[in-house]
Amino acid sequence: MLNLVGVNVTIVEISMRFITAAVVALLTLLTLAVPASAQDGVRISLLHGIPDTAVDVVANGEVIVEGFSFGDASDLSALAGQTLSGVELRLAGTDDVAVDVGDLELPSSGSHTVIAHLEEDGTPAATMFENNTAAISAGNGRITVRHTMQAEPVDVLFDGFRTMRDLGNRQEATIQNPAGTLSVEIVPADEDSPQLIGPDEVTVVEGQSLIVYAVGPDTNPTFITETIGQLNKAPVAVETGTSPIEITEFSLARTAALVAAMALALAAFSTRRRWLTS
Amino acid sequence: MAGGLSFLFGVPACTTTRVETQVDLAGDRSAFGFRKLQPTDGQAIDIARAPAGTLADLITPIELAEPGRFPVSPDRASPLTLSADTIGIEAAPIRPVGVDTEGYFDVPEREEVGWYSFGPTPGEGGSSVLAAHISTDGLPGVFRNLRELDTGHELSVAFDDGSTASFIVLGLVQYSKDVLPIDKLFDRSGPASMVLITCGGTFNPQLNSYDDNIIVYTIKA
Repeated sequence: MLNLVGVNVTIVEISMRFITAAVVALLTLLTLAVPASAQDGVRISLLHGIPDTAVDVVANGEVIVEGFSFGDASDLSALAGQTLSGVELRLAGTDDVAVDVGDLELPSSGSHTVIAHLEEDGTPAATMFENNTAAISAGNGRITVRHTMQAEPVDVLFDGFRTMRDLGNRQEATIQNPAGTLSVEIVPADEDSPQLIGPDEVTVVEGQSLIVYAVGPDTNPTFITETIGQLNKAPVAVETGTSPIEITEFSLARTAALVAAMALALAAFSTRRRWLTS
Repeated sequence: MAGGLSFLFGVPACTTTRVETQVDLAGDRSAFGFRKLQPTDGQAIDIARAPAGTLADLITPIELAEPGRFPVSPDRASPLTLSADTIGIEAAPIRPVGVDTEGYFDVPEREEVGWYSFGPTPGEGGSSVLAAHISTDGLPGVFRNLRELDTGHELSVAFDDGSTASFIVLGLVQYSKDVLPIDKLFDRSGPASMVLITCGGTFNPQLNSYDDNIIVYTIKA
Protein backbone atom coordinates (compact mmCIF):
# COMPACT_ATOMS: atom_id res chain seq x y z
CA MET A 1 0.00 0.00 0.00
CA LEU A 2 1.08 3.58 -0.50
CA ASN A 3 2.65 4.91 2.67
CA LEU A 4 5.00 7.67 1.65
CA VAL A 5 7.89 7.86 4.04
CA GLY A 6 9.78 11.03 4.88
CA VAL A 7 10.87 12.21 1.47
CA ASN A 8 8.60 14.75 -0.16
CA VAL A 9 7.94 14.48 -3.84
CA THR A 10 10.46 16.72 -5.54
CA ILE A 11 10.41 17.73 -9.13
CA VAL A 12 13.91 18.27 -10.45
CA GLU A 13 14.31 19.77 -13.85
CA ILE A 14 17.30 18.37 -15.64
CA SER A 15 17.55 20.16 -18.91
CA MET A 16 20.77 19.55 -20.73
CA ARG A 17 20.60 18.75 -24.38
CA PHE A 18 24.15 19.96 -24.93
CA ILE A 19 26.64 18.93 -22.29
CA THR A 20 28.88 21.95 -21.90
CA ALA A 21 31.86 22.34 -19.63
CA ALA A 22 29.97 24.84 -17.46
CA VAL A 23 27.11 22.43 -16.95
CA VAL A 24 29.46 19.60 -16.07
CA ALA A 25 31.20 21.83 -13.52
CA LEU A 26 27.81 22.55 -11.93
CA LEU A 27 27.00 18.83 -11.97
CA THR A 28 30.27 18.10 -10.19
CA LEU A 29 29.44 20.67 -7.50
CA LEU A 30 25.98 19.16 -7.03
CA THR A 31 27.51 15.71 -6.77
CA LEU A 32 29.87 16.88 -4.04
CA ALA A 33 26.98 18.44 -2.11
CA VAL A 34 25.04 15.18 -2.06
CA PRO A 35 25.45 13.21 1.19
CA ALA A 36 27.76 10.18 1.22
CA SER A 37 26.60 7.71 -1.33
CA ALA A 38 25.90 4.08 -0.50
CA GLN A 39 28.00 3.17 -3.53
CA ASP A 40 31.56 4.07 -4.27
CA GLY A 41 33.00 4.74 -7.72
CA VAL A 42 31.29 5.86 -10.90
CA ARG A 43 28.48 4.42 -12.99
CA ILE A 44 27.38 5.75 -16.36
CA SER A 45 24.75 3.96 -18.39
CA LEU A 46 23.49 4.70 -21.87
CA LEU A 47 19.85 3.86 -22.58
CA HIS A 48 17.88 3.74 -25.83
CA GLY A 49 14.42 5.18 -25.24
CA ILE A 50 13.16 5.78 -28.79
CA PRO A 51 11.00 2.92 -30.13
CA ASP A 52 11.51 1.57 -33.66
CA THR A 53 14.75 3.51 -34.21
CA ALA A 54 17.88 1.36 -34.16
CA VAL A 55 20.98 3.57 -34.17
CA ASP A 56 24.75 3.42 -34.31
CA VAL A 57 26.38 5.49 -31.58
CA VAL A 58 29.34 7.45 -32.94
CA ALA A 59 32.04 9.18 -30.88
CA ASN A 60 35.59 10.35 -31.65
CA GLY A 61 34.94 9.45 -35.28
CA GLU A 62 34.22 5.79 -34.55
CA VAL A 63 31.12 3.66 -34.05
CA ILE A 64 31.25 2.78 -30.35
CA VAL A 65 27.92 0.97 -30.11
CA GLU A 66 26.51 -0.69 -33.22
CA GLY A 67 22.85 -1.49 -33.81
CA PHE A 68 21.68 0.09 -30.56
CA SER A 69 17.94 -0.69 -30.38
CA PHE A 70 14.98 0.43 -28.28
CA GLY A 71 15.29 -1.00 -24.76
CA ASP A 72 19.04 -1.67 -25.08
CA ALA A 73 21.52 -0.31 -22.57
CA SER A 74 25.29 0.01 -22.46
CA ASP A 75 27.75 0.53 -19.63
CA LEU A 76 29.97 3.56 -20.27
CA SER A 77 31.54 3.51 -16.79
CA ALA A 78 35.00 2.65 -18.18
CA LEU A 79 34.95 5.96 -20.05
CA ALA A 80 34.21 8.04 -16.95
CA GLY A 81 36.03 11.36 -16.87
CA GLN A 82 36.62 11.36 -20.64
CA THR A 83 35.19 13.82 -23.15
CA LEU A 84 33.65 12.11 -26.15
CA SER A 85 33.81 14.44 -29.15
CA GLY A 86 31.27 14.67 -31.94
CA VAL A 87 28.77 12.26 -30.41
CA GLU A 88 26.01 11.32 -32.85
CA LEU A 89 23.20 8.80 -32.98
CA ARG A 90 22.94 7.74 -36.62
CA LEU A 91 20.18 5.58 -38.03
CA ALA A 92 21.72 2.10 -37.95
CA GLY A 93 23.86 1.32 -40.96
CA THR A 94 23.50 4.83 -42.43
CA ASP A 95 25.09 8.26 -42.15
CA ASP A 96 21.75 9.90 -41.29
CA VAL A 97 22.09 11.67 -37.96
CA ALA A 98 19.04 11.19 -35.71
CA VAL A 99 20.54 13.03 -32.73
CA ASP A 100 23.56 15.33 -32.76
CA VAL A 101 24.76 15.35 -29.14
CA GLY A 102 28.02 17.21 -29.78
CA ASP A 103 30.81 16.91 -27.22
CA LEU A 104 29.83 14.76 -24.25
CA GLU A 105 31.82 15.20 -21.04
CA LEU A 106 31.32 12.05 -18.98
CA PRO A 107 31.47 12.68 -15.21
CA SER A 108 34.28 11.03 -13.27
CA SER A 109 32.16 10.11 -10.25
CA GLY A 110 28.61 9.45 -9.21
CA SER A 111 25.84 7.58 -11.00
CA HIS A 112 24.47 8.97 -14.26
CA THR A 113 22.23 7.84 -17.09
CA VAL A 114 22.32 9.19 -20.64
CA ILE A 115 19.10 8.37 -22.49
CA ALA A 116 18.13 8.86 -26.13
CA HIS A 117 14.47 9.88 -26.10
CA LEU A 118 11.79 12.02 -27.69
CA GLU A 119 11.08 15.59 -26.62
CA GLU A 120 7.54 16.81 -26.00
CA ASP A 121 7.11 17.59 -29.70
CA GLY A 122 8.59 14.28 -30.83
CA THR A 123 12.08 15.55 -31.70
CA PRO A 124 14.78 12.94 -30.94
CA ALA A 125 17.18 14.12 -28.25
CA ALA A 126 19.58 12.90 -25.55
CA THR A 127 19.59 13.82 -21.87
CA MET A 128 21.95 13.01 -19.01
CA PHE A 129 20.27 12.42 -15.63
CA GLU A 130 22.08 12.24 -12.31
CA ASN A 131 20.95 9.26 -10.20
CA ASN A 132 20.39 9.41 -6.45
CA THR A 133 22.45 6.71 -4.77
CA ALA A 134 21.88 7.80 -1.17
CA ALA A 135 21.23 4.84 1.13
CA ILE A 136 17.55 4.11 1.85
CA SER A 137 16.31 3.56 5.41
CA ALA A 138 15.63 -0.08 6.26
CA GLY A 139 12.38 -1.48 4.98
CA ASN A 140 11.98 1.02 2.16
CA GLY A 141 12.71 1.39 -1.54
CA ARG A 142 12.61 4.23 -4.08
CA ILE A 143 10.79 4.80 -7.33
CA THR A 144 11.83 7.61 -9.68
CA VAL A 145 9.73 8.48 -12.71
CA ARG A 146 11.33 10.42 -15.60
CA HIS A 147 9.20 12.00 -18.35
CA THR A 148 11.13 11.26 -21.56
CA MET A 149 8.24 10.83 -23.98
CA GLN A 150 6.37 12.73 -26.66
CA ALA A 151 3.69 14.11 -24.36
CA GLU A 152 2.68 17.20 -22.44
CA PRO A 153 3.19 17.28 -18.67
CA VAL A 154 1.80 14.29 -16.78
CA ASP A 155 0.67 13.19 -13.34
CA VAL A 156 1.70 9.85 -11.79
CA LEU A 157 -0.79 8.01 -9.58
CA PHE A 158 0.23 5.33 -7.08
CA ASP A 159 -2.58 3.26 -5.54
CA GLY A 160 -5.00 5.79 -6.97
CA PHE A 161 -3.34 8.78 -5.28
CA ARG A 162 -2.14 11.61 -7.55
CA THR A 163 1.40 11.53 -6.12
CA MET A 164 3.54 13.28 -8.75
CA ARG A 165 2.05 16.30 -10.46
CA ASP A 166 2.76 18.26 -13.61
CA LEU A 167 5.91 16.39 -14.62
CA GLY A 168 7.20 17.85 -17.90
CA ASN A 169 9.58 16.38 -20.47
CA ARG A 170 13.07 15.91 -18.98
CA GLN A 171 11.68 16.26 -15.45
CA GLU A 172 11.67 13.60 -12.76
CA ALA A 173 10.05 12.92 -9.39
CA THR A 174 10.83 10.40 -6.67
CA ILE A 175 8.92 8.63 -3.90
CA GLN A 176 10.23 6.49 -1.06
CA ASN A 177 7.87 3.81 0.22
CA PRO A 178 7.92 0.65 2.35
CA ALA A 179 8.65 -2.48 0.34
CA GLY A 180 5.56 -3.89 -1.33
CA THR A 181 3.37 -3.68 -4.41
CA LEU A 182 1.72 -0.53 -5.71
CA SER A 183 -0.56 0.11 -8.63
CA VAL A 184 0.79 2.82 -10.93
CA GLU A 185 -0.60 4.82 -13.84
CA ILE A 186 0.49 7.90 -15.75
CA VAL A 187 -2.10 10.34 -17.11
CA PRO A 188 -2.01 13.87 -18.57
CA ALA A 189 -1.62 16.46 -15.81
CA ASP A 190 -4.91 17.15 -13.99
CA GLU A 191 -6.73 14.59 -16.13
CA ASP A 192 -7.94 11.03 -15.50
CA SER A 193 -7.51 9.83 -19.05
CA PRO A 194 -6.13 8.70 -21.37
CA GLN A 195 -3.96 6.34 -19.31
CA LEU A 196 -0.64 6.85 -21.07
CA ILE A 197 1.03 4.19 -18.91
CA GLY A 198 -0.76 1.52 -16.87
CA PRO A 199 -2.58 0.82 -14.75
CA ASP A 200 0.04 -1.72 -13.81
CA GLU A 201 1.54 -3.28 -10.68
CA VAL A 202 5.00 -2.15 -9.62
CA THR A 203 7.04 -3.67 -6.79
CA VAL A 204 8.96 -1.47 -4.38
CA VAL A 205 12.06 -3.53 -3.58
CA GLU A 206 13.74 -2.89 -0.22
CA GLY A 207 17.10 -1.17 -0.55
CA GLN A 208 16.64 -0.64 -4.27
CA SER A 209 15.96 2.35 -6.49
CA LEU A 210 13.73 1.70 -9.51
CA ILE A 211 13.91 4.31 -12.29
CA VAL A 212 10.99 4.35 -14.70
CA TYR A 213 11.40 6.18 -18.01
CA ALA A 214 8.10 7.04 -19.71
CA VAL A 215 9.07 6.89 -23.40
CA GLY A 216 7.72 6.70 -26.89
CA PRO A 217 5.56 8.66 -29.35
CA ASP A 218 2.12 9.94 -28.41
CA THR A 219 0.57 7.20 -30.51
CA ASN A 220 2.16 4.42 -28.46
CA PRO A 221 3.61 5.50 -25.09
CA THR A 222 5.39 2.88 -23.02
CA PHE A 223 8.19 2.67 -20.45
CA ILE A 224 11.63 1.20 -19.80
CA THR A 225 13.24 0.68 -16.39
CA GLU A 226 16.63 0.76 -14.74
CA THR A 227 17.48 -0.38 -11.20
CA ILE A 228 20.16 0.60 -8.73
CA GLY A 229 20.61 -1.96 -5.97
CA GLN A 230 22.69 -2.25 -2.79
CA LEU A 231 21.24 0.97 -1.36
CA ASN A 232 19.96 -0.76 1.78
CA LYS A 233 20.63 0.35 5.34
CA ALA A 234 20.78 -1.99 8.32
CA PRO A 235 17.97 -1.92 10.90
CA VAL A 236 18.37 0.50 13.81
CA ALA A 237 19.05 -2.30 16.31
CA VAL A 238 18.28 -5.92 17.17
CA GLU A 239 16.38 -6.15 20.46
CA THR A 240 16.32 -9.87 21.14
CA GLY A 241 15.82 -9.91 24.88
CA THR A 242 13.16 -8.16 26.91
CA SER A 243 13.38 -9.96 30.26
CA PRO A 244 16.24 -11.13 32.45
CA ILE A 245 17.56 -14.68 32.06
CA GLU A 246 16.00 -16.85 34.79
CA ILE A 247 18.19 -17.44 37.88
CA THR A 248 19.45 -21.02 37.88
CA GLU A 249 20.35 -23.16 40.90
CA PHE A 250 24.01 -22.78 39.94
CA SER A 251 23.73 -19.03 40.18
CA LEU A 252 22.09 -19.21 43.62
CA ALA A 253 24.93 -21.40 44.89
CA ARG A 254 27.49 -18.92 43.58
CA THR A 255 25.68 -16.06 45.28
CA ALA A 256 25.63 -17.97 48.58
CA ALA A 257 29.35 -18.65 48.32
CA LEU A 258 30.03 -14.99 47.59
CA VAL A 259 28.06 -13.88 50.66
CA ALA A 260 29.90 -16.40 52.83
CA ALA A 261 33.26 -15.16 51.56
CA MET A 262 32.30 -11.57 52.27
CA ALA A 263 31.27 -12.50 55.82
CA LEU A 264 34.64 -14.17 56.43
CA ALA A 265 36.50 -11.16 55.08
CA LEU A 266 34.48 -8.80 57.29
CA ALA A 267 35.17 -10.93 60.38
CA ALA A 268 38.89 -10.95 59.62
CA PHE A 269 38.94 -7.19 59.17
CA SER A 270 37.14 -6.65 62.49
CA THR A 271 39.64 -8.90 64.30
CA ARG A 272 42.55 -6.92 62.94
CA ARG A 273 40.99 -3.67 64.06
CA ARG A 274 40.71 -4.89 67.62
CA TRP A 275 44.37 -5.92 67.58
CA LEU A 276 45.50 -2.50 66.41
CA THR A 277 43.67 -0.65 69.09
CA SER A 278 44.48 -2.94 72.01
CA MET B 1 43.97 -18.12 10.96
CA ALA B 2 43.69 -15.20 13.37
CA GLY B 3 44.63 -12.80 10.59
CA GLY B 4 42.15 -14.29 8.14
CA LEU B 5 39.19 -14.09 10.48
CA SER B 6 40.06 -10.80 12.11
CA PHE B 7 38.00 -8.83 9.63
CA LEU B 8 34.89 -10.59 10.86
CA PHE B 9 35.48 -9.83 14.48
CA GLY B 10 36.28 -6.19 13.85
CA VAL B 11 39.58 -6.34 15.69
CA PRO B 12 43.01 -5.98 14.13
CA ALA B 13 45.07 -9.15 13.78
CA CYS B 14 47.52 -9.18 16.63
CA THR B 15 49.41 -12.32 15.87
CA THR B 16 51.63 -13.04 12.88
CA THR B 17 53.10 -16.28 11.68
CA ARG B 18 56.73 -16.52 10.58
CA VAL B 19 56.99 -18.21 7.23
CA GLU B 20 60.27 -19.87 6.40
CA THR B 21 61.07 -19.74 2.69
CA GLN B 22 63.79 -21.37 0.70
CA VAL B 23 65.45 -18.55 -1.24
CA ASP B 24 67.17 -19.88 -4.32
CA LEU B 25 68.80 -17.23 -6.45
CA ALA B 26 70.31 -19.74 -8.86
CA GLY B 27 68.67 -20.72 -12.10
CA ASP B 28 65.74 -18.82 -13.57
CA ARG B 29 63.82 -18.67 -10.30
CA SER B 30 64.04 -15.47 -8.31
CA ALA B 31 63.28 -15.14 -4.62
CA PHE B 32 59.98 -16.70 -3.48
CA GLY B 33 59.88 -18.93 -6.55
CA PHE B 34 58.76 -16.33 -9.08
CA ARG B 35 60.10 -16.98 -12.52
CA LYS B 36 62.49 -14.36 -13.85
CA LEU B 37 61.06 -12.47 -16.82
CA GLN B 38 62.60 -13.45 -20.15
CA PRO B 39 62.96 -11.02 -23.05
CA THR B 40 60.35 -11.59 -25.75
CA ASP B 41 60.43 -11.29 -29.49
CA GLY B 42 57.13 -9.42 -29.65
CA GLN B 43 56.93 -5.74 -30.43
CA ALA B 44 56.04 -3.34 -27.69
CA ILE B 45 52.50 -2.00 -28.08
CA ASP B 46 52.31 1.76 -28.17
CA ILE B 47 49.18 2.47 -26.14
CA ALA B 48 48.86 6.00 -27.47
CA ARG B 49 48.53 4.65 -30.99
CA ALA B 50 46.19 1.78 -30.08
CA PRO B 51 43.77 1.14 -32.96
CA ALA B 52 40.41 2.91 -32.89
CA GLY B 53 37.66 0.61 -31.69
CA THR B 54 39.40 0.34 -28.32
CA LEU B 55 36.74 2.74 -27.09
CA ALA B 56 34.07 0.28 -28.19
CA ASP B 57 35.88 -2.53 -26.37
CA LEU B 58 35.43 -0.63 -23.11
CA ILE B 59 31.65 -0.53 -23.51
CA THR B 60 29.65 -3.53 -22.38
CA PRO B 61 25.90 -4.23 -22.67
CA ILE B 62 23.57 -3.97 -19.69
CA GLU B 63 20.52 -6.22 -19.43
CA LEU B 64 17.32 -4.28 -18.70
CA ALA B 65 13.79 -5.58 -18.17
CA GLU B 66 11.62 -5.84 -21.31
CA PRO B 67 10.10 -2.49 -22.37
CA GLY B 68 6.63 -2.16 -20.94
CA ARG B 69 7.38 -4.60 -18.09
CA PHE B 70 8.58 -3.91 -14.58
CA PRO B 71 11.51 -6.03 -13.37
CA VAL B 72 10.60 -9.18 -11.44
CA SER B 73 12.71 -10.45 -8.53
CA PRO B 74 13.75 -14.07 -9.05
CA ASP B 75 12.03 -16.71 -6.92
CA ARG B 76 14.12 -18.20 -4.16
CA ALA B 77 13.62 -20.89 -1.54
CA SER B 78 12.55 -19.64 1.87
CA PRO B 79 14.18 -21.00 5.06
CA LEU B 80 11.73 -23.03 7.20
CA THR B 81 13.60 -24.40 10.24
CA LEU B 82 16.91 -24.07 12.09
CA SER B 83 18.63 -26.91 13.95
CA ALA B 84 21.65 -26.70 16.23
CA ASP B 85 22.23 -30.04 17.96
CA THR B 86 25.04 -28.85 20.22
CA ILE B 87 22.74 -26.39 21.97
CA GLY B 88 19.50 -28.32 21.80
CA ILE B 89 17.74 -26.45 18.99
CA GLU B 90 15.68 -28.94 17.02
CA ALA B 91 13.91 -27.67 13.89
CA ALA B 92 12.99 -24.30 15.39
CA PRO B 93 10.55 -22.56 13.06
CA ILE B 94 11.97 -19.67 11.02
CA ARG B 95 9.75 -16.70 10.24
CA PRO B 96 10.62 -14.21 7.46
CA VAL B 97 10.70 -10.73 9.00
CA GLY B 98 11.71 -7.18 8.18
CA VAL B 99 11.71 -4.07 10.31
CA ASP B 100 8.98 -2.57 12.46
CA THR B 101 7.62 0.94 12.04
CA GLU B 102 10.54 2.35 14.05
CA GLY B 103 13.12 0.66 11.82
CA TYR B 104 14.10 -1.98 14.40
CA PHE B 105 14.62 -5.64 13.43
CA ASP B 106 11.17 -7.17 13.75
CA VAL B 107 11.90 -9.98 16.26
CA PRO B 108 9.21 -12.71 16.06
CA GLU B 109 7.53 -14.77 18.80
CA ARG B 110 9.51 -16.31 21.67
CA GLU B 111 9.85 -19.78 20.10
CA GLU B 112 10.54 -18.53 16.57
CA VAL B 113 13.70 -17.50 14.75
CA GLY B 114 13.45 -14.36 12.63
CA TRP B 115 15.15 -14.37 9.21
CA TYR B 116 15.79 -10.91 7.77
CA SER B 117 13.97 -11.48 4.50
CA PHE B 118 15.08 -8.21 2.88
CA GLY B 119 18.58 -9.67 2.77
CA PRO B 120 20.01 -12.90 1.38
CA THR B 121 18.61 -16.29 2.24
CA PRO B 122 21.04 -18.49 4.26
CA GLY B 123 23.68 -19.71 1.78
CA GLU B 124 23.12 -16.91 -0.75
CA GLY B 125 25.88 -14.35 -1.29
CA GLY B 126 26.25 -11.72 1.40
CA SER B 127 25.40 -11.91 5.07
CA SER B 128 22.11 -13.61 5.92
CA VAL B 129 20.77 -12.82 9.39
CA LEU B 130 18.84 -14.98 11.87
CA ALA B 131 17.86 -13.46 15.22
CA ALA B 132 15.82 -14.73 18.16
CA HIS B 133 15.13 -13.87 21.79
CA ILE B 134 17.39 -15.03 24.59
CA SER B 135 14.54 -14.33 26.97
CA THR B 136 11.24 -12.52 26.69
CA ASP B 137 8.14 -12.09 28.86
CA GLY B 138 10.01 -13.84 31.66
CA LEU B 139 10.54 -17.02 29.68
CA PRO B 140 13.57 -18.33 27.77
CA GLY B 141 13.68 -17.79 23.99
CA VAL B 142 14.94 -20.02 21.16
CA PHE B 143 18.45 -18.58 21.47
CA ARG B 144 18.65 -19.01 25.25
CA ASN B 145 21.80 -21.13 24.89
CA LEU B 146 23.29 -19.42 21.82
CA ARG B 147 26.44 -18.41 23.70
CA GLU B 148 27.23 -22.10 24.29
CA LEU B 149 28.02 -22.48 20.59
CA ASP B 150 31.69 -22.83 19.80
CA THR B 151 34.00 -22.88 16.79
CA GLY B 152 33.36 -25.92 14.64
CA HIS B 153 29.80 -26.57 15.76
CA GLU B 154 27.36 -27.34 12.96
CA LEU B 155 24.01 -25.73 12.21
CA SER B 156 21.44 -26.77 9.67
CA VAL B 157 18.74 -24.82 7.81
CA ALA B 158 15.89 -26.56 5.99
CA PHE B 159 14.12 -24.75 3.11
CA ASP B 160 10.60 -24.87 1.73
CA ASP B 161 11.79 -26.52 -1.48
CA GLY B 162 13.01 -29.56 0.50
CA SER B 163 16.69 -28.64 0.40
CA THR B 164 18.96 -28.16 3.43
CA ALA B 165 22.15 -26.21 4.01
CA SER B 166 24.80 -26.72 6.71
CA PHE B 167 26.82 -24.02 8.39
CA ILE B 168 29.94 -24.16 10.57
CA VAL B 169 30.48 -21.79 13.49
CA LEU B 170 33.60 -19.64 13.11
CA GLY B 171 33.32 -17.92 16.45
CA LEU B 172 31.27 -15.71 18.75
CA VAL B 173 31.61 -12.08 19.71
CA GLN B 174 29.70 -10.18 22.39
CA TYR B 175 29.40 -6.50 21.49
CA SER B 176 28.07 -3.62 23.52
CA LYS B 177 25.04 -2.50 21.51
CA ASP B 178 26.46 0.98 20.98
CA VAL B 179 29.46 -0.44 19.10
CA LEU B 180 27.70 -3.28 17.27
CA PRO B 181 29.02 -3.31 13.66
CA ILE B 182 25.45 -3.57 12.43
CA ASP B 183 26.18 -2.42 8.86
CA LYS B 184 28.64 -5.24 8.42
CA LEU B 185 26.21 -7.81 9.86
CA PHE B 186 23.56 -6.79 7.31
CA ASP B 187 25.94 -6.29 4.36
CA ARG B 188 24.43 -7.94 1.27
CA SER B 189 27.67 -7.94 -0.69
CA GLY B 190 30.65 -10.18 -0.16
CA PRO B 191 30.98 -13.90 0.53
CA ALA B 192 28.04 -16.03 1.68
CA SER B 193 27.89 -16.11 5.46
CA MET B 194 25.21 -16.38 8.10
CA VAL B 195 25.13 -14.57 11.42
CA LEU B 196 22.95 -15.42 14.38
CA ILE B 197 22.03 -12.65 16.79
CA THR B 198 20.65 -12.57 20.27
CA CYS B 199 21.10 -10.38 23.33
CA GLY B 200 23.43 -10.74 26.30
CA GLY B 201 25.38 -8.99 28.98
CA THR B 202 23.73 -6.94 31.68
CA PHE B 203 19.94 -6.67 31.65
CA ASN B 204 18.63 -3.15 32.12
CA PRO B 205 15.23 -3.40 33.89
CA GLN B 206 14.36 0.24 33.18
CA LEU B 207 14.66 -0.33 29.43
CA ASN B 208 13.62 -4.02 29.40
CA SER B 209 16.69 -4.49 27.25
CA TYR B 210 20.15 -6.04 27.41
CA ASP B 211 23.32 -3.99 27.07
CA ASP B 212 24.95 -6.30 24.53
CA ASN B 213 24.32 -8.34 21.42
CA ILE B 214 25.85 -11.79 21.02
CA ILE B 215 26.83 -12.53 17.42
CA VAL B 216 27.61 -16.00 16.10
CA TYR B 217 29.56 -15.93 12.82
CA THR B 218 29.11 -18.94 10.54
CA ILE B 219 29.96 -19.93 6.99
CA LYS B 220 28.30 -22.38 4.67
CA ALA B 221 29.77 -25.85 5.11
